[in-house]
Amino acid sequence: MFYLKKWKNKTIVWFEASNSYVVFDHFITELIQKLHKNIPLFEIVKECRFLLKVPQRTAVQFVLDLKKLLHQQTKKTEACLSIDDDNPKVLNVYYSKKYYQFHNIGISILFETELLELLIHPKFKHLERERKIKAEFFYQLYFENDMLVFSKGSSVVGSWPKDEKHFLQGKVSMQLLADMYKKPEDEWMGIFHASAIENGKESILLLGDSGNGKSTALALLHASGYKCLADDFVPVDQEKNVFLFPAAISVKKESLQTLAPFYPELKISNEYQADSKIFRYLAPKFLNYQQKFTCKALVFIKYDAKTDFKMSSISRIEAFQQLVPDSWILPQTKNVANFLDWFLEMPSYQLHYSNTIKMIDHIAKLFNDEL
Amino acid sequence: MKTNTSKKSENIDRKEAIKKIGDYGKYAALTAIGTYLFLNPKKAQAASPSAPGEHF
Repeated sequence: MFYLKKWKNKTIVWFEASNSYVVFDHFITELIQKLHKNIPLFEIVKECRFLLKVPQRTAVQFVLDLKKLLHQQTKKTEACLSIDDDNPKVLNVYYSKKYYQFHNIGISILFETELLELLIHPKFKHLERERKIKAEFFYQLYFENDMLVFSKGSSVVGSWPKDEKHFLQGKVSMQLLADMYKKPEDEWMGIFHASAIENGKESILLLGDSGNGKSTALALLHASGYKCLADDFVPVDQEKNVFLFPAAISVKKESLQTLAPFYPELKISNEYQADSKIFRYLAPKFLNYQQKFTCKALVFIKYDAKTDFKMSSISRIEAFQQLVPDSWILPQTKNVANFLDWFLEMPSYQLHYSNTIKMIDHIAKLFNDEL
Repeated sequence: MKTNTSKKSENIDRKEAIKKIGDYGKYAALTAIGTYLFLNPKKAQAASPSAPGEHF
């Protein structure tokens, strides 16, 4: 029903029914455990009064709030209606059919419309094979009842309203990941909204909000000799290894001038637009699907024109606040325990920069234990 | 003990976190006395909001 992990003076509680992580002071967690065990309320209120040194009325209200919170987080939610159980539509007319090669796995994707192609194809264009290859998996993307539908073989993987296209894109990426490594969704610990690089031995995850410069930093580090593991979609398995995900790096228009000297191909690559942002895709080089890497550190990175360079370590709880809302973490108790063990051991840093040389230099120092 | 969850969330500029905290603002006594922070991971794997395909 819930899982507890103590960390210094806090406790992280994961509620299975709501898939929420709540960071509490220890004493609150102890009261929650008592409420969960159905210990009489008056006893909990008495303990609360003693612990907090507050009047009876405040203690009662406090315990009632906790009870309400516990109820909210542990009640089962009703399943959403979906058309997932239907058979996939047979597409006799479609916009395009593409063949992609992920290491030694061929995957074909049939796009019903140009807009659907635009959702997926640009990120994987560099893996497209012009000639028809032997595809092991067949995906379809189409519209049905005003929903975006993704099917694989003879079953529907999922369907989403049009305004949730980023979930369709995420699910296609997840399915590609599962198929290219022959590792199903429930064998991954999580997918992190980050960029990942490796130095042949270990990896570092660059995290931060969209627009903070993760991808630009990734491309700069890639140009300086590090290999790119993933951009935007970083998979970590339950053995806590970071894997390669070969989607192209998205380069915003503002970063073109910085990156073009290292990547001349950017000058002639196609331009795309989304959410008023203009960007191009950069294919990562030296794709090595065979290796996987432990994660050395999490770096919350931000390009800031006003800051030359600033890097400091941040607390786990601060990092946790930034990491969790942007991540998909397999919502199973054993995995949550595994994720928290992994995360709470992970050094975390905040890095603000406009000086790219210093940024690259400090990432090198981080890799080499010189910080 | 003072709560500072809202402040922390503003600092990190997490719209999602702020929204969640807003949802739980109803726990007035709890908020007044204890520090707690709600975080919800993504309900499914998702692409970055700026991935192409906004013309639906």
